[in-house]
Amino acid sequence: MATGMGTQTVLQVSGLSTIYPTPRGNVEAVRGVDLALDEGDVLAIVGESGCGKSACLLSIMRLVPHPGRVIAGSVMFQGRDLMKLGARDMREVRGRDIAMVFQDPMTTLNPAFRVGDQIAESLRVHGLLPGFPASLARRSRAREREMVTELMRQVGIPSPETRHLEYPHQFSGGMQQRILIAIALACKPRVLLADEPTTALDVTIQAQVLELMREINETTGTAIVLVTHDLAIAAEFCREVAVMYAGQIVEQGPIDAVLEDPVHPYTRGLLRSIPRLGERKPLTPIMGEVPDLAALGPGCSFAPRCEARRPCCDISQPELVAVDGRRLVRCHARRD
Amino acid sequence: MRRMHVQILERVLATIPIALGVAIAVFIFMRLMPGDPVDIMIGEAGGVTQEEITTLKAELGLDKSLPVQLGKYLAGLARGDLGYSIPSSRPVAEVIREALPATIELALYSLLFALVVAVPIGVISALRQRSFIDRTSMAASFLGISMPAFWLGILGIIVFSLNLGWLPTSGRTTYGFEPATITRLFTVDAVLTGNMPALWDALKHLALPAATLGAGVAAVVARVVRSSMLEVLRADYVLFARAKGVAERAVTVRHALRNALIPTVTVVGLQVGTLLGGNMIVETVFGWPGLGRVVVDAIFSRDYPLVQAAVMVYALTFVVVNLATDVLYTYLNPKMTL
Repeated sequence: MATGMGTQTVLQVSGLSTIYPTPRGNVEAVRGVDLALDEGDVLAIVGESGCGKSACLLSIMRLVPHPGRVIAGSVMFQGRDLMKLGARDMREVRGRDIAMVFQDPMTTLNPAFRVGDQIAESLRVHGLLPGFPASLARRSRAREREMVTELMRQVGIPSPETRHLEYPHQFSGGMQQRILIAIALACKPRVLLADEPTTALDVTIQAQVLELMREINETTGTAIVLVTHDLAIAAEFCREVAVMYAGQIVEQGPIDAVLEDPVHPYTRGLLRSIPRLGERKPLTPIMGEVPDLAALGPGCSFAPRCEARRPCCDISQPELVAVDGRRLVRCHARRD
Repeated sequence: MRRMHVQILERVLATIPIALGVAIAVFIFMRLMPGDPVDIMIGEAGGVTQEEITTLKAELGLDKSLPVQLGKYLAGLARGDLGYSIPSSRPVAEVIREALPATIELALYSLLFALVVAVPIGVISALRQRSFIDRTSMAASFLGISMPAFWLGILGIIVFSLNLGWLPTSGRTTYGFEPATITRLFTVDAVLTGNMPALWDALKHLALPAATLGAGVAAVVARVVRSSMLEVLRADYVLFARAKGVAERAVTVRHALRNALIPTVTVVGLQVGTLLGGNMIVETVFGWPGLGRVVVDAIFSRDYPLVQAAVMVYALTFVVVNLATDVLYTYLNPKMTL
């Protein structure tokens, strides 16, 4: 998608680490994540619940809820390290340069405001529409309505001229997600961080929303990071995939390579636990549980559940190393 | 919106049976109290013959059977005739019309005081959960809920009136400072006539009673605002607003507080009952010439018509306030219809 856009890196995440202090100790939600996102690229981050995918996106936005905080790493965007920006500069980046879409549109839209106002707010906070009190002038109100309905039309909401006056609960889930996307796209961001944008939707609606995101990526060149637990969606939608486990990336590479020939035992387990149409043999789940992120041992965090476990796996952390030239794997038992 | 008007009309019509119920209940309860107005008056006067008592009771219609009395009372109500106050022989409507503005003014300022104090405290406590400010204000609000109004009022008089001498101890105005009568709300009249000394005087008289009456409400409202803010601040839409680049203050006020006010409005509406009920005590403590004090006096003298009418005013106020609350609620919460 959007090939020929040039391969300039738009977002470079290095060594990002985030913790949540708890009475039991610090939960290490994100542990040294490196990601590079090229302009117009679509990257998937997959993994099971609690593996740190969402925390990773929130860390990039510096929106990790209190008392969690980013303890290390940098996020380079347009030559600046977002982790070092002042609060005001960071606020300008949010929504204007890097926008975010959340999982559950029902709870993400503010129930007390008309959807049109919520779309307009995005434009207003970033100066694309005049703020109060100039916003009350007849001309700016007309301009606001025009921009808002145009955005709603872009994301495929029928009759935006009347519907921009409605409240979120008057829309279906799929339409609500389209509104979220309209809000995210209002300022034409360079990067869109999508946190499980289709998880709360019906399958048919999922496909529509993904199709909409693909279209946006192709027409505007907005780079997308798609967080999902659904490998099928990643396969459908992305060129590059990063598999996360216990706060770390364990395997990363082109989606076809990773799906057809997974190297990391966790990726293999993940693929085996997906039901396939027409096959009647029982699924093979990954045994054991996700480790306690507040009490991680010195070894590989997947070792207790791993089929290819070796003695060294309990002692030292494997590094993320290049395998067959195209991808990265974090495993002692990898083949080189 | 036209539908809303119809619904409001329906609610107004629905108050008719409520008013009827209140009228009958008050009528019965008043007669359950030992002693009737004549007994009380005689107790004060002394040296009255049995014959005179019988004549007086007949004059007041108290010799009739209860159902007949009730029937006459209700028939009067239907005509808008509230009867005459027994000890003073003045029309009840006139007594109430004179006393009501003082009570309304006190209730409004109490409510204003409660909201101005409680909403910011609730918001700040939620934003700085478990901080010193949070703990202190929640402890203070606990005190505010537990402390009886008469005690708080007397404390206020001792400190601010007697020791510091900043505020008057009682009444609505200092003699000679009354503003011209327009609405009978002294502060409003003073503003309308541009009479600044009268405004200042009225506000000084209002300060202590309004704070006393509003304290309990403020305590409850601060807690509700705090807990609903805590809930709302965790909501996805607050995080999403931040992700849009909305400034923190706007996130707090526009996105969070606006939603936190939805449950708050309900509580405030119910607390208006406290403002009405509590005002009998506060008006007595501060010598406030309002309806609360009139009712207390009327109860002691078994002034049946006056008590009945005053309680009716309370009940209808409560109904109106609840209706207003519901209207405000639908405005704040688009998911609701009346």
